[in-house]
Amino acid sequence: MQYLLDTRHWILGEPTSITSLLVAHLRITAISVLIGLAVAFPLALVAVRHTRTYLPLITVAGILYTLPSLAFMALLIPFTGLTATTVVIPLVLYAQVVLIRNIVAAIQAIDPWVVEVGYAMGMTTRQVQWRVVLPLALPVIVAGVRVATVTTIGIATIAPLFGVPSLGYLIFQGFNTSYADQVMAGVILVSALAILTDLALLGVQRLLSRGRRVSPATA
Amino acid sequence: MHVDTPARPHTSTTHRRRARPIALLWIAALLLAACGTARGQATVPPGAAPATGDTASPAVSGAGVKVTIGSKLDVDGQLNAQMYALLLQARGFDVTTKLGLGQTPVLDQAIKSGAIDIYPEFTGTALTLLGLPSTQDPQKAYNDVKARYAEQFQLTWLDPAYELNDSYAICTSPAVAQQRNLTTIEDLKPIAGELTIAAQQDGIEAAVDPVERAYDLRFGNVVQIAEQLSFDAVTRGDADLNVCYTTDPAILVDNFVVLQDTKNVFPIYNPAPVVRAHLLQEAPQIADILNELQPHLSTEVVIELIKQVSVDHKSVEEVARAFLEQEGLLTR
Amino acid sequence: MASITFSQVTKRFPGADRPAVDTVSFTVPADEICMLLGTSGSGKTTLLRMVNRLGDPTSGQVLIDGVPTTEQDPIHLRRGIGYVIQQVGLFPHLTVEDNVRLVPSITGEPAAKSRPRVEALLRLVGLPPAEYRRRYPSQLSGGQAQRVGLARALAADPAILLMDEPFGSLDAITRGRMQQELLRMQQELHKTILFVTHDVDEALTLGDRIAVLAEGRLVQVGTPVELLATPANAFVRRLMGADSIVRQFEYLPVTLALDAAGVRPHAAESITADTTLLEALLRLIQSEQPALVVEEAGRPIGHVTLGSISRSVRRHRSGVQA
Repeated sequence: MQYLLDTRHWILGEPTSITSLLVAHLRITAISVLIGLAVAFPLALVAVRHTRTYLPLITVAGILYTLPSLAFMALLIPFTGLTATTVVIPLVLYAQVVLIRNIVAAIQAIDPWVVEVGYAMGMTTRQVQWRVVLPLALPVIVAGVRVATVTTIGIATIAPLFGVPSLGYLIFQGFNTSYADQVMAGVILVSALAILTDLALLGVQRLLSRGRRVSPATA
Repeated sequence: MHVDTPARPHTSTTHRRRARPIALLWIAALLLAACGTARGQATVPPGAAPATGDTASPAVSGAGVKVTIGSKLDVDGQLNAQMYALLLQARGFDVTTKLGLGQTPVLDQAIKSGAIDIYPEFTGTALTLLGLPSTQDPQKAYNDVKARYAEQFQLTWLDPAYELNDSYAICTSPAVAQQRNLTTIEDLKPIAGELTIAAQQDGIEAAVDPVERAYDLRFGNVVQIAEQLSFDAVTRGDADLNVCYTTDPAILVDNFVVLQDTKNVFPIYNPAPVVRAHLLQEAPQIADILNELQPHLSTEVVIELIKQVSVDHKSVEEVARAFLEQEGLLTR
Repeated sequence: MASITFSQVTKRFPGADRPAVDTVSFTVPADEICMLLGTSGSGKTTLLRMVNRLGDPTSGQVLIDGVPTTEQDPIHLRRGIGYVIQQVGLFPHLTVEDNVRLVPSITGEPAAKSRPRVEALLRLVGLPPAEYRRRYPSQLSGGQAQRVGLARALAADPAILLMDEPFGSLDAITRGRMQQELLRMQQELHKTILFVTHDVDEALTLGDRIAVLAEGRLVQVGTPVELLATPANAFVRRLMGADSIVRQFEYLPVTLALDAAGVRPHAAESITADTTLLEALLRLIQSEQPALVVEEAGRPIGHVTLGSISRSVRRHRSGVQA
C-alpha cells in the first residue's frame, strides 16, 4: 500500500505516475469502447434488418474474441507499430460480441405496437428512431457497454507491452523489478477502476431505465 | 530473460498465420476510424518519455536524427536500452524510448517493421530465434547472428559486451547448499532424484534439459514458476534448486549459491545493440557511440545496477545515468 | 367535423389469394360513431389503417372531407387523426403526462403550453391529473392504460378518431364502463369515430352506424335498428343475432310498435320516441295502464299497447324469416 500512498507516485505530468497511467488507461478504454460502439451499431442494425446475417456476424465476432490478445497485438506491430492503434484494434474487436448481441437484443425487445403507435401518431422515421427506439433500447445497450468496458479495462492492462501506457505498467514493471508493492498498487487500481466504472455505468443504466426494470446484459 | 517465449503458450506461429487474413480485413476497416483518435496518444510511452535533455551534448553530429529505442521487460534490457538512449541523446539525437515492451517476439516484430530502431538483444536468444543451435563460444555466437541478421533482416549487430554474460545457472539457497554439501552441478548427480527444481518456462528447455543430458542426471521433480518467484520457492522449501539468471541480484541479496557449471553446458548470452541498417546509413556515428559503452559492461557491474533498481527501487533512468557519469561516458 | 368516404377501396397483400379489402364503398358522416363489425380476417383493421395511411389502398380512394388521403402528407395527416389500439402501445419510458402530450411535443410545442390541455384530457378520461400525471405505464391497470391511450389520441384535438378494438382486452365490467364513458365524451367532443370491433353488443351500444364486413367485402351498412330490423342477408342476421327476441327488445325503438289505431289522448303516461321496446314493455307492466303515449319532441305521435308490441315483434320475425 505504501506505493499507492506515496504522493511522489501521483505527480501530474510524470509519464509513469499513477495519475498519468490512470488517465491513459481510462483514455484507451474510452476510445476502444466508443469506436467499438461505432462499429457494433451499424452491424447490429444490419443483423436486425437482415436476420440471416446475425449468426455469421456473431460467429465471426465470437471467433475474434477467442484470439489471444498478446498474440493479436504482436501480430499488428508490422502494420500499426507500437502505437495505441495496435492496442485499440483488438480491444474494439473483442467488444463486438457483447455489443452486437446486446444492441440486437435491445432492438428486438421493443414492443412493435409501440413503434406502430409512434408512426400512427405522426412521428417521422427519425422521431421514431430517436424518441422511441433509442430510449427503449438504450438501457439494454448500456448493459452491454458495461460488460464490454470492464473487459476492456482488464485487457488494456497489457498495453504497456506494446509501448502504450496503462496501469499495467505498474504490474509489469513492479514484477520485473521485484517490487511487490508496485504490483499490488497496479492490481488494486485496475480492479478499482473496473468496479467503479461498472457502478457508474449501472447508475447510467438505472437512470435510462426509468419506468422499467433494469435488465442485465445478454452475455 | 533471454529465450523469452510469449506469455500465452498457444501463441504458435500457425495460429497467428491463420488469424492474419481476418485480422487484416478488420484492420483495414478500422484503421481509418482508429487513427485519428489513437495516434496522438501513442507518443507518450510508459517506460520513459524522451529522456530528459542532457545539456552537455558535445558539438557532434546526431542533431535532428530521430531514433526510437526499445527494450524487453527485463531490467537488464531496460538498463542497456536506457544507456543507449542517454548516450545518443547527449550527442544530439532526437530519442524516443519505449522500454519494458513485451517479450522477444514483440521486439522482434517491432524492429523488423521499423516501430523501433534499436534494442538490446542477447546473442544466445537470437540464435534460438533463428533456429540455430546454441553455443558456448561467444565469438561464434556473435558472428553467426550478426551475419544472419544483416543478410535476412537488414539489421546490424553492433559490438557485444563480451564481459556481460546474462545466462542461466542452477542456484540454491545457502541452507540447502550446506545441508547437501553442494558447490558444483556435478555434486547433484547422486541426489538429483530426490530434488525438486523450480524453473521458468524458458529455463526448462534452456537449462534443465541440457543439464540433465550433460551431467547424466534426472531431477525428481520440475516445477514451472516465474524466475522472480523461484528464489522464494527455494527459501520456503517448496523447491530445493532453481534455475536463475546469472545477473539476478537476488543471488546477492539472498546469498544464493550458484552451482559451478564444470561441463560448460549453458550457452553464452552477450547483449549487443541491434540497429536498423537504414538508420546506420543515415547516422553511421551511432556505431561508434554505442560501441564505446560495451567494454564498460560486465556481469558484476550489471548485477549491481539491477540491484539498485530491483532492491533499492531507483528508476532505470536514474541508475543508467549515474553509471554512465561514473564511467565518464556522460558528462554531468 | 370531418366525414370519411371509402370509394371502391381494395387492398391486396402480396401472396394472399384474395384481397384483404375488396371494393368497399361507404361514407361515415361527420361526428358519427361508425362501427366496423366483422369476424377476424374480415378486413376491418386493414380498412381502418388506410384512413391514416398506415397502409394505402391497392386501388380506390379514401377521402376525408372529399380530399383523397393519398394527396396528403402522411405525417401531417396522422397528426390530425387520433389512434387507439387494443395493445394500447403507451411508451414505457415516458410518464402518463409525456405520453399524452406526445403529438404536441413532436410538433415542437413546449411542455408548459400543453400542460392545461393534458390535465383537462386526463380529467376527461377519468384520471385525476395530480395522481396519475407522473406515473409510468407500468404503474397503471389495463383500464387506466387505455384511458391514457384515449387521452393521448385526443391530445391534438383531432377531428377523426380511429379505434381498433380498444376495449378488447379489458374485463367485461371495465369494458362496459369504458363504453359508457366513450358515449359520454362523444356528446362533448363530436368526433368522427371509426371503431373496429368483433363484439356485436359493443357495435349496437356504441354505433350510430354499423358497417358489417365479411371476407373483405362490405355486406351491409346502416344504423343498429336497420341492421336488426332489416338484415341484408342470413349472414348479417346471424351475426347480429336478429332472431333473438331479447336483442330486439333491447335495441329496437318503440316507434316500430305504434298502435295502428292512432292517438288515444286519455292515456295517462308518456314515453319518448327513442325508448327501446324493452323499456316500454317494463313501463307498461309497472304502470298497469293499457297504453302509453309516445312523444317526439314533446308532441304525441302515437301510442303503444302490449298488443301492438307483440304484433310488431311477430311481424318483424316473420319478415326476417321470409
